[in-house]
Amino acid sequence: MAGNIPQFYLRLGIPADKPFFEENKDLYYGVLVNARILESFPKSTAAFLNDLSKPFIIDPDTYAFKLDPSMLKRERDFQIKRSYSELEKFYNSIITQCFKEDRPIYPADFLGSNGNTDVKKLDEFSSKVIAYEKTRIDSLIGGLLRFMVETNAHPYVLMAPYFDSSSIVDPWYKISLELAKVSTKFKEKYQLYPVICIEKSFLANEANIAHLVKDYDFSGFDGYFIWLPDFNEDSENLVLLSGYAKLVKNLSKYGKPIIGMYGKFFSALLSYNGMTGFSSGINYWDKRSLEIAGGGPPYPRYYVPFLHTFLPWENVARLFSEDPSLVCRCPACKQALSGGQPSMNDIKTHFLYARFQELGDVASKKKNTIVRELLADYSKKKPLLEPLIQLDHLERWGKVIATI
Amino acid sequence: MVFESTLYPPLTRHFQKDYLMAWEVPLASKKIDVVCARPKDSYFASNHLASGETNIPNTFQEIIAIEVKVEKWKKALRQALIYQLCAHKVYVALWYSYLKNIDFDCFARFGVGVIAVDGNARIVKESKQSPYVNPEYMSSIEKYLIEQKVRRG
Repeated sequence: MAGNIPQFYLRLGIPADKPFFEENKDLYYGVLVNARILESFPKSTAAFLNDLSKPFIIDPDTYAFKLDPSMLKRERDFQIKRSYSELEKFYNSIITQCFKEDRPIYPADFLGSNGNTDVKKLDEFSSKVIAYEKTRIDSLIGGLLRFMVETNAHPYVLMAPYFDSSSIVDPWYKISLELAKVSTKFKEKYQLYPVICIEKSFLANEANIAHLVKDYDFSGFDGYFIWLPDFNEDSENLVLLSGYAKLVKNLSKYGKPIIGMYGKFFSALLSYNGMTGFSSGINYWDKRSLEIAGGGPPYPRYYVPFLHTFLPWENVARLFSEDPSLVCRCPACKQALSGGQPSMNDIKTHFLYARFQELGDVASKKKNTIVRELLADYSKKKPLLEPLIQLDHLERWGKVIATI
Repeated sequence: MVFESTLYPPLTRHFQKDYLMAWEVPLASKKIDVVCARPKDSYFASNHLASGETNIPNTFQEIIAIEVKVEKWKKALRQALIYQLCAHKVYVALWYSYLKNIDFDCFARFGVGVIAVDGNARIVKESKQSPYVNPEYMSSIEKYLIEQKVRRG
């Protein structure tokens, strides 16, 4: 069934991307910003979100405090980075205690003396995280401004505090679920979605999926975020892709929005299974590990619309010379490609056009049509273009979407 | 067990008589395992090496790029195909005992040559001239080779 355009949330990763958000406002639905990035550039990010007037969501990055503290420190002086020390001021005494003891947060930090989760501790942590999300932008815009002009200071949706877990018996699974449930007490007029952040191998077992879906049946939740760390839509096998599709389909029976935290075209295809939207950066963060990446701009990768994936530019140049019919004719490429290699700006703008186009295709075409097109592209081009490029993912996606 | 490094000395012996050689040559986000370049006669006579001048187009008669792998020929071919943007000829060098696994028709279709390496290196399938040479990429390789030569003094 054809349906709504999948909501595409752009992740703000580097300040240099801001002009692309501003100049291409019609090509995406909303903005997702990590709290650690917000705290790296608080005033400018708040002003940017306010001026942009698009729906925004703050990822509270609570999982980061579960990492070894060395990953949160600066290399030059081995002190906690400013962004995390700022977050610590907002979040609560558990994080303060962890920093003081130079250790990650443990499940025991949320347990009482009887070994069960301590509601008081869950309440305290959740209330602080939720308060941060609700008020941070507003307080940064601050002053008279909010009385003088209309502001866009409030998040579209609240993201419950979360920690990654390896399985449903991992203590963090229960803690994350309970933190999310407790958070609903503080949501007030806002919508609140829990984050299902679980190791991708979990998807291989249908009983696991059924168990999780049942656990997350809670009336206070208004939707769901899903993050499967290191899940690469291009390279995952049929079992894991099918598992993801089943998870989405089973969750969708609750009739609530489901947003993928990181994804690309397979996430768009999951809209046929009930996915409402997904997020990525411009040319990066379409998959994400739990590790905190170091600095440096991402290497320029060009989004190949026919493959629905990125390739380094030199691979694209060779691909286009092999098959000129694949050359993109979007407004950004039309001019750039006539002059040879596109600039980084062209590559980014091209990606936004290409993504907008493919989301429109998903919305306007029936599932069977999209699957047929994917499989036809695969069969037609594979004999001509392999091994120059890998396109088996098109077949895997088509098979999964057709059958789930 | 054969290591990739085992393949380099025989390749060097095979090409060094007629070509200048460089290893790990950068090409955009990649590094070409081996580049062999046959300089024009004027190359050594000209004074650009001494002056440090590197912007000299068409310095080389022929540039060959080689992707070295012990066994994984498909992965090697995928890499080698990108090198057709910057080299006149392109080869995949493999350890000889794995040659029986490869699809020679696939190499022929794309015009990529094959080198078998044991104690020696020998070309078992000639490379065709690349029809996809991109002046910008080739120039970047030429510049790198000249700079290397200058540094080696």
